Amino acid sequence: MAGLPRRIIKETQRLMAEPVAGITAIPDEQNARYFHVVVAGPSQSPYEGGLFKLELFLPEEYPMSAPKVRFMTKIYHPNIDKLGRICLDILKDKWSPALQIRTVLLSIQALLSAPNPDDPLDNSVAEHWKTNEKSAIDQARQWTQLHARANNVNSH
Amino acid sequence: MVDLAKEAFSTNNFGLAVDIYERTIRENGPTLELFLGLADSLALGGNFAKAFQSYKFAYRYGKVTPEKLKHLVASLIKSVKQDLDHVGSQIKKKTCLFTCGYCLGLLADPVTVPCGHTFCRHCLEKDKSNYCELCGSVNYRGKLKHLNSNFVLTNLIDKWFPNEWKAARLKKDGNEFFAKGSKGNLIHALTMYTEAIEVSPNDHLLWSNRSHTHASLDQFEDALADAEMVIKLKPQWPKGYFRKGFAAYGLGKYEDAAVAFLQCLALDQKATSAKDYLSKALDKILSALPPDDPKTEALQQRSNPTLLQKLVENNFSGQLLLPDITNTLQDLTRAVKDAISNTGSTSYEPVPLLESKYKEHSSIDKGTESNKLKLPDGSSLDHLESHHLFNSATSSPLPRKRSRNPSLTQSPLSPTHSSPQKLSKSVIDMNASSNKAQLASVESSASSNKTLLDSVEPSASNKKTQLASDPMSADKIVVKPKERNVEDLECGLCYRLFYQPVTTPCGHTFCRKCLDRCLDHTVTCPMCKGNLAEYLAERRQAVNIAIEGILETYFKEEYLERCRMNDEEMVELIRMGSGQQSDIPVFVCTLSFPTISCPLHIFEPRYRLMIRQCMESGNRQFGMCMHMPDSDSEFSDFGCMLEIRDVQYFPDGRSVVDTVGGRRFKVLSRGKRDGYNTARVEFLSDKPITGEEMLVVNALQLEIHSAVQYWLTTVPSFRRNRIIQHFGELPEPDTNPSTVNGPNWAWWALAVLPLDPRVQLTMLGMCSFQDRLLALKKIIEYLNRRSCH
Repeated sequence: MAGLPRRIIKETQRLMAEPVAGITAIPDEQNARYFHVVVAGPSQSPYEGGLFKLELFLPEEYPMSAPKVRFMTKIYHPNIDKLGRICLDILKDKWSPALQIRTVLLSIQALLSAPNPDDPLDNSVAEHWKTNEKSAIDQARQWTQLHARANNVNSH
Repeated sequence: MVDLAKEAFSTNNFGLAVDIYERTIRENGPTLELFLGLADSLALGGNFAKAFQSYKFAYRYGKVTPEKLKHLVASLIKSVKQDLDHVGSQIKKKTCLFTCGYCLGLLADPVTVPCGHTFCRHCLEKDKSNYCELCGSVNYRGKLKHLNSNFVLTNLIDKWFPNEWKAARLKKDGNEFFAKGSKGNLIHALTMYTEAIEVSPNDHLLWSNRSHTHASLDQFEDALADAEMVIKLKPQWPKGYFRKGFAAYGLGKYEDAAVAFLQCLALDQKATSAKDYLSKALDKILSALPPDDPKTEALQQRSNPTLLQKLVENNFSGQLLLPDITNTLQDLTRAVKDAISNTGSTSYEPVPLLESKYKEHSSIDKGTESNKLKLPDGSSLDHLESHHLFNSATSSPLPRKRSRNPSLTQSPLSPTHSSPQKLSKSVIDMNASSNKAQLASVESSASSNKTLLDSVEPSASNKKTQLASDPMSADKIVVKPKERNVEDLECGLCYRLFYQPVTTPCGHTFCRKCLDRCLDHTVTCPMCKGNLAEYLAERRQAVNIAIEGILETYFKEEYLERCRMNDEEMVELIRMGSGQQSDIPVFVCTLSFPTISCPLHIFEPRYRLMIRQCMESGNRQFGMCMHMPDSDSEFSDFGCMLEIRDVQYFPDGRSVVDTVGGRRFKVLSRGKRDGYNTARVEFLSDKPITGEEMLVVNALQLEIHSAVQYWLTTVPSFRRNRIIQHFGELPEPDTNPSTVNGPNWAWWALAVLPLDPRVQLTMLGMCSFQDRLLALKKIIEYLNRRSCH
């Protein structure tokens, strides 16, 4: 591929110019297709107060295929597994080229606000959520304190 | 006799019918039926002056209902019909940006139909035909409710035309009051329309609606004033004339009404209510009692004729009926023509259009002239003359034309002139010489047009310039740079300005290429996930004309830059296959050989894109390499170009591509583009065969050729048939084997023989025909040995 497609350049510019509240996405200095992302845990969620690091990569076929996104920070969530992989339809079969980095990150933020244990990626976490939601939420809150505290992000 | 006349009439032999009716009237005395028959024959024969006289007579001899005037109405419409279908739509295509092709107003709830034109949803709902108003292509009517409003245009109109938008909302309220009907509601509607007119005084639809409301309240003077305003704002809009006619009819001004209805019908032949009212108005005119003092009346008419009288005199020339329109149309046609000759574009064809317009006039003029020239000596209807209303026609021959075109006096299309004895001959002549007459009259019509132009010019010139500078007022609104935001016209897929914008049934707009690429992957709209299976199956490619026009008009620089970008991409694609060393797209699938056909089933998104790019760039070829699962590189080091002969698409976007092998190549390096493989390659050619080698090679060629032929006989017949079906017969040996790829038959053999692909690949890369022959020899020997065991 000759250069970076205009779309990626524009998306990056717009992300920098008008960032999404609670989300930062900065392209890697070496690779403009690789983004360092930090998502703040949404308020009134067990992830409140946490800062979650993610990596986002735009594959060669982007936007025909979805960006690859993964949580780097450990998180206790029924739709995110131990390796940080995310179960989100728009990152898989529901991807559309009209979606963009911004919408993907917003969806991930929304996923933190509304965990969906009926479509789990990590079965044990989902099971925990379904059988004892309060305890699961407590656990998620603990993990947030343990792994996603603001000062942890950079030293992770 | 009457039966004979009727038969002549029904076989379109109006001249004969006129003669018979005239004779019968002379011999048997006048009756209602005879005069009506005579009048209808005259009207359909194009002699309106005399037809009007006869109709008047018919009214003296009995009760005539407006329905009886249907032949007159039909013939009048035919005469005044403007050739707007071609010229008009060409101009509309050029100028319709925010303007609906039906109501000529600002698009309200814009819906883009499959041919790429955009109309108000309301207007589309009202049209019961299956065809696009602007281009005539078939649109799917019944599915209008499945078509969403165009989001890009809705957004732009909202931003760019806030006043018009406000007026449109007021109008909608007014329409609702109007629909309820009672007097109180009508007055409410009137207030709404008046308020809307204050916000947006150039919107002819508001004036038109107010005119209609006034007329419904029997306020015909006000209705007439509003209708005049509509016509001033949009002289090319038929309904304005209908409103005027309606108001004039209400005021008892039947001649004005008839003219206005005719003007309406000249622009829209389908307007049935205008037809009905034209009949009624004509009925009123024709049934009017004769004046007390016919001579003074006639004198007055001659010195100061009404427009209708003038029209009758001139046999309803379009120039006279709608001077503004005809002049504007000609101006615009000329402007379009000029624009084309400047840019060298070929998308419009104004010259034949212009000619066809002249022909239109010529056919009218032809009738006029021949009739007029004849009348002075056609004294057979003397007894009619004393009473007729429009007698000035008889005394207005056009000597200039007569002297210029003497041939026209013998025009076979001059029914009233022929004596019964001559008739049969002239009937025969009619077909044979009508072409000639037409040719002659084209010339004359040019001059007659000029005359008429000259006569109407002084009064019309002011309006004309106004018209020419302001054909579609909504489009003339200047958009302030601040409001002109490029992002409003950006493709949501490539984030660039639209290039060849297409609008989906769900109302979303993308660059055509961007959407095509999405459809390679999934048959849903990238924006709303709406199903686009039908869109894909019909292979719609029509660009949204309004949006493209907006880009060209309001984003000229950006759009030119965008076009340049696209051209560069195209050049890059074209370059891929040319030169001795070049970058080519690579299809990784199987081995193919020079001159051997290779049908391919294309279903993978990346190859759909590749084939489309090959076709769009005009390159029509790509490299074919073998898949190499065991090696580090994804595909073989040697391959063969495939030239696309034909592509057949399935409704779901898959396709069968018929290709044939071309040059061979060696892969120098591998790359990727838009998801498919590419390679930098060096094209291979056979070493030339020198003089002394030639004998050996040719002997070997014949030997191996017959060996292959023999091998073919050993193949079971069902397999042999399949081979021949697929690859054709074994080609003959080549008398000059020293070519780029060597003789075809050797490739045929290589493709057909049951070989390991690796062997085939090695032989594909061999650049010596002799080496390939020797390899074939070994293979044949091995195969023969094996079949013996």
